[in-house]
Amino acid sequence: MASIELQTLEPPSPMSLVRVVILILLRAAGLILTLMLAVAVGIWSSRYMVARGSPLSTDSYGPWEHWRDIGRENADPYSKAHLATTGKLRISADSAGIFEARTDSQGARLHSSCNYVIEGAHMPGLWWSLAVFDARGHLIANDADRYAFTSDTIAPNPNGSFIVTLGRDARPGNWLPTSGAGRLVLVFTVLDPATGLSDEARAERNRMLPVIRREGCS
Amino acid sequence: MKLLRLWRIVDWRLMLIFFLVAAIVHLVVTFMAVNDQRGTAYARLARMLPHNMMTITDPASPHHQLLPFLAPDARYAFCPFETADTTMRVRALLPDLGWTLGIYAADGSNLYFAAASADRETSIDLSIVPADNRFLGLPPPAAVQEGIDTQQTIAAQRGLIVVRAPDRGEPYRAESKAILAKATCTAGRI
Repeated sequence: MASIELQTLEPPSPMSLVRVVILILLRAAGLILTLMLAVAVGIWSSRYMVARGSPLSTDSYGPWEHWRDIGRENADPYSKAHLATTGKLRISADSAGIFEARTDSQGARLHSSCNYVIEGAHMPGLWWSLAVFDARGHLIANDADRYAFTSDTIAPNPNGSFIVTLGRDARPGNWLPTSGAGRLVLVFTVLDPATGLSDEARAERNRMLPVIRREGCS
Repeated sequence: MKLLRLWRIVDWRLMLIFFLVAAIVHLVVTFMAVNDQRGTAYARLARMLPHNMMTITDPASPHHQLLPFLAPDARYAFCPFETADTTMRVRALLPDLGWTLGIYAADGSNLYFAAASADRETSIDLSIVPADNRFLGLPPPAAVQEGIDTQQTIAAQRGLIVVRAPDRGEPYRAESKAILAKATCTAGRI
């Protein structure tokens, strides 16, 4: 006759119970921390890509950033969100090139405590403007009431190229005052001609964007 | 060896949860930003300017800047329009290089854009009709008016008409403003 030996179930020791509870709490804390971190990273990455762009939505030409599809009806969600959140009014990328620079050509942040020289090539037949703003898109108050130069108002070099200086102190020539603004943003706008621009002409235009050289800081 | 140890330490389930949640939150926040139209250029200007009427705004200055990053290189005329119970007729003259006319949807996308050419004046005559299939009566017989370069009909519910006169310096400002003042947007049947 077979016999079944029943084992008596011993109650777990208080120490092992504590160990199990601590383990569960640790796992829960790890999960909560992971979720919080994921939410933070998701929000931050979205805001960054909407505000500054990324290779998904912008092209870079030296220090100049260009939103590839901005203003187009079939623009990507980042370009659409960029317009919706910043309140910018932008001409469509089909009709103009609008380039923003937050750094000089060496990659250092543009700041009103520094002087800059911006050298641009002659752009025959194209209307362009170069404007300076503070980091929030406000114009910088100055006694000269000078906030931008255009292909109409600039004093060009004899060969059609141009030089604009940015700085706190007045300078001869094409000077844009930046006194006390903190971080700066330059916006270079080039309107396409009424007949439009071919892809080759557009690529050529993008190669001719101005160089931003820092002269010194105080 | 170090890589193998790292492989064992990492909790891959948590890592997967992290990337999945971050991606979902990223997409949700981005699409919420796309659909939040409270801060668009249209929403800001529609609060300040009369509707269905062209308004020439003061030259941009630090104390009078309607929109962030709005280029101070030009004088602007804005017309926030709404075609809920009407159609819009837009007329403008673009006399020289740098003059532009743009029609923007409420979300900031360009519905129409015209730039002047260097060698001749461009006259624009546009109609904006509601972006639905409502019957608005028969349009008058199509006739190309003399001196008009562009006649077109655009469908849009609401948005912004912007005529931009480039700032060519003090001697030209009065002339530019006079031409800008002739730009109109009027409500009425086509």
